Amino acid sequence: MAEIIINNVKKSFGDFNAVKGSTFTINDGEFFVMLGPSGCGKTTTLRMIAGLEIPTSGEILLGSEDVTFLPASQRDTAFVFQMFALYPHMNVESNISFPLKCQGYKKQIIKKKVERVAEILQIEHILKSPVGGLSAGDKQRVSLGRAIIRDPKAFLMDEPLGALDTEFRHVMCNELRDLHNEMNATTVYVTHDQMEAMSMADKILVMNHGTIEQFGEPQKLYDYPLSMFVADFLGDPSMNFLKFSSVIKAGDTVLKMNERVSVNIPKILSNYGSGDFVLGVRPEYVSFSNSSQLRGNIFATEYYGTTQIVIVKTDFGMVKARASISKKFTVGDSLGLVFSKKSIVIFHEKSGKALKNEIYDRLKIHG
Amino acid sequence: MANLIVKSITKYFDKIEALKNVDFEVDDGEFFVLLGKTGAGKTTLLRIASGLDDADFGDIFIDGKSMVDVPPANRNVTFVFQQYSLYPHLTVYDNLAFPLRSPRIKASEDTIKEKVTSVSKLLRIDHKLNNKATALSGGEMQRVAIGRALVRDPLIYFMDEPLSSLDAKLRSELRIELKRVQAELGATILYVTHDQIEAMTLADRIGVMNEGELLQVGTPKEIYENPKNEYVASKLGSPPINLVPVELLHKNSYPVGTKNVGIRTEHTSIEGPSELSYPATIRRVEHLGDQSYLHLTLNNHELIILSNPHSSYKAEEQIHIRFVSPISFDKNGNAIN
Repeated sequence: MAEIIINNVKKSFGDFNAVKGSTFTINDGEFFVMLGPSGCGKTTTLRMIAGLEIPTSGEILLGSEDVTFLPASQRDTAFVFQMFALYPHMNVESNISFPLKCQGYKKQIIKKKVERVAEILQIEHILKSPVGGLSAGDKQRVSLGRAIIRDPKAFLMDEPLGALDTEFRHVMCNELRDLHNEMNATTVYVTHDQMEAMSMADKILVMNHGTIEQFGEPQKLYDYPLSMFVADFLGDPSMNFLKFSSVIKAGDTVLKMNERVSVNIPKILSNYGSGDFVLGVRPEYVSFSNSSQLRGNIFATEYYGTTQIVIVKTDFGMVKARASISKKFTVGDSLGLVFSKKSIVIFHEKSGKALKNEIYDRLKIHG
Repeated sequence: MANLIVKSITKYFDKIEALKNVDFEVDDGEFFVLLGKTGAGKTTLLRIASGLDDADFGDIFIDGKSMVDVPPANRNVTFVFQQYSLYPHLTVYDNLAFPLRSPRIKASEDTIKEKVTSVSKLLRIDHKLNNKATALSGGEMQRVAIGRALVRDPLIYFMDEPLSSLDAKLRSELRIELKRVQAELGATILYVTHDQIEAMTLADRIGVMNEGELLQVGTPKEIYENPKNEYVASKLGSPPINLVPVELLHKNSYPVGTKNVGIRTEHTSIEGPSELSYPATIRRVEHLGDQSYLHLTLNNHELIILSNPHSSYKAEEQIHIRFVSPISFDKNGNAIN
């Protein structure tokens, strides 16, 4: 197993800069997720780590060995694709053992290894089955098995669960994470699904337009996003954005959103002058108070069983609040809103960047 | 608008009974969602109700009239499919106007203009009326597809997974729009989905289907809180309800005949050891941002419960949990009241 270092890696396809200079380190044994919308450069980055693409510039180290220009076959990484690329004419056992047969392992050893892998993935009972009739979940387990059996330095996975439906995807996330906990292999995992990323990752790297927006622990990214892009991409429903114009300066702890409405915020550390800003607050940190000056009318409610989402139309746009299901809300009623102070993030509207406040500073969260 | 009565519908494909004597009513102005996994029979039922397929037994009533011999075109209903089938060479305006220009309706261009304008405003695509249908985002295309159903003022709307080809963000946006539009128009909608979140958030009432049978009909809250059986219980709620064999629990706390006890992930509290609580070990803490899932083992049985995202629980830790409003199921999986 090994650490992976990406040092100022760029990749262009003609005029198109797919990856615009990425630098980051994936620690040994880490479950590392690259997250972003399609076209953000996450798959290109993964393919460069695998050796399926050669960087335009920069270097890639795999366990201290410079592999930047090594072909994929000499890198000792295993790739798992979205479409389970299995050999349709072979049974499960032959599919799993195929990589070892190619490398000329003895039959005896192959058998032992296949048994062990099947046990880990709990697919012992289907070893002799043809892959054609398998469920999507079992097919994906088999393709994982083919990756695991090689015992590579790192696993590289490109949306391996993308073809599954939501509920089953979550079940497979848990399986993958359990598998990782057992094997402790460095894993680089690409997805556009924030739930998968939050659920499994030790660290998440969020990409957008070929650049890194932010990386760190999932809960930190969720709580302290550095940009509106990250704030919006993580969470379902995502963060509320309330637009306003104001003057913001160092030391501010109260934000004047308009003539009537002021809210308490974590202390701002720099002068930002006057301009257009956005207040960001997550739905679970919005509560209700009749005395609040920030008011709106209930536009809709959504029942989720465990909780409900109340959507309120305010002067600053729609605001979603997560509420207990025991509370009764009527569409059209007026409602006062309160935001939990610690969870408020202010963004520059134009750049989308978060303004520096005391909490970010204390936790050393910066770009 | 009108009501819809589905009466004793049975359908065979060869020897397979795809629908087993299905009965239900959709009230005038109601948003009714059929929920079930692939192969449950929900789309077959929708196609029969709309007239695209025939049933082997039973009848469909729209606005009190039997539809047995009425072809779909004469039923005055519309259909929205999963894949937005727009005319790529036409503008948004012409796509929306298309149903009104059909030989059967032949509305005047003035009427069409009025209708298209109001529907496009309702769906917030009025600024794109002159765009080619292909120059739209996925969400906008699906709005046009829905809009094309709305311009017609039919008695009933039939919708087959209209949001499932969209990404998660768009889906949740359009969900709210669709619900708002339905309420504003007082439309009667029969809607099919496999997505329990869609069912819970959109429906006035849900019908849960499995293997051709309609298992339970009720408001989302009724079904979530009082599921008739284990299947229905596990169909609503994410993560799904925990089902724990009663042998692992204090048997006396549950009614005679209980086999499994269902505990919703949010219906647990973590407290000190007591006669009412159970010791459990945390196997993994899954952070999802707004909340965390604790994966537990209780007597070797796996459970998932919800917890605050900023709680400090760690893997391997021992805790004691207590169940709040558990549901008992008998050996056939039926709820015991």
